[in-house]
Amino acid sequence: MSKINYKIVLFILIISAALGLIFNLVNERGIPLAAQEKTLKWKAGILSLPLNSNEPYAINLQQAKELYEQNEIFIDAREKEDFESSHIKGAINIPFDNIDEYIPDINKIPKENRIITYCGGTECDLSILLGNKLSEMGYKNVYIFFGGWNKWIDAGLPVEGKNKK
Amino acid sequence: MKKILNNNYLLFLVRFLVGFVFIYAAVEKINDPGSFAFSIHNYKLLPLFTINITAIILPWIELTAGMLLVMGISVKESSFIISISLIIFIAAVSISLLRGLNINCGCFGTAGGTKIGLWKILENLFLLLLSVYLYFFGSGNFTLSCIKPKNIQ
Repeated sequence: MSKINYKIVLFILIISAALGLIFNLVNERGIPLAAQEKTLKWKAGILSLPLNSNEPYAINLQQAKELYEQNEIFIDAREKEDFESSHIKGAINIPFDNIDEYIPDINKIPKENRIITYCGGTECDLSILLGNKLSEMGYKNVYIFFGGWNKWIDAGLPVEGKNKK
Repeated sequence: MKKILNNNYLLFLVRFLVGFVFIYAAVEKINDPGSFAFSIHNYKLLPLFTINITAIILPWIELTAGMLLVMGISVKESSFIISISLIIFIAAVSISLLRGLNINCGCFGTAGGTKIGLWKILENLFLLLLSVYLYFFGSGNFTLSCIKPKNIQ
């Protein structure tokens, strides 16, 4: 049996890395070498004015409640099964994992509307990802309800669904 | 048994199969590194600053090793690389399952979109078995390599 030549292993790895780096430079879908952590900006103060921002702002439970009372659009970024089980009353479901299928639905919402995204809780980043996507799509008033579903339930605010609790 | 395992046709078939799976898996990820970076991020195993560079390089390692396997060049070395990758993939999927993460595998880019699960581990174990087999039994005769491995027993 022939022996493994670790120099060749190293050579293959280096060539692959070089090809990857070069291709990433010329690829129009290329990405930066190190990802930047997007810091979540919190919305302070008055909610009555439109946000008019190119990026989403995080809001807390109190602010979410305020927007809810103004009948703004809540979007549940969790999966369909979670949504069907129970969700914020009146919310619509756009699972971030299958976002491409829902683009036509999103486009029905006027760009200047206020949109509040939420998901499972502070551990869940689907609401942030969906919020960023909506901003990219040109929505100017996107809020991320960061405490999300868990805080909503704890506060005993209106929910609906098959297993509403 | 050893005779069967040393069969040139079988070696060629297995090389082709494993190589093709890796090439196929690589192409989609190379095409859309952003989505692959997102998949890696979902596993929550790597620190943020290493995610993009992994997403840029890993698919090319898969592609190169896969192509070398299909062509029968440096089969021992490329099957070694593929085996190590598979062990890492199996570990990543297992850890995520144990942590109860419900995420997409990202194994074949976003196009496949299959969720991680026990089946994914079995799939990878099967590939690992084939790849380890190639590691020990070499390329067989049907190769493009001009340097024939010398001491085949």
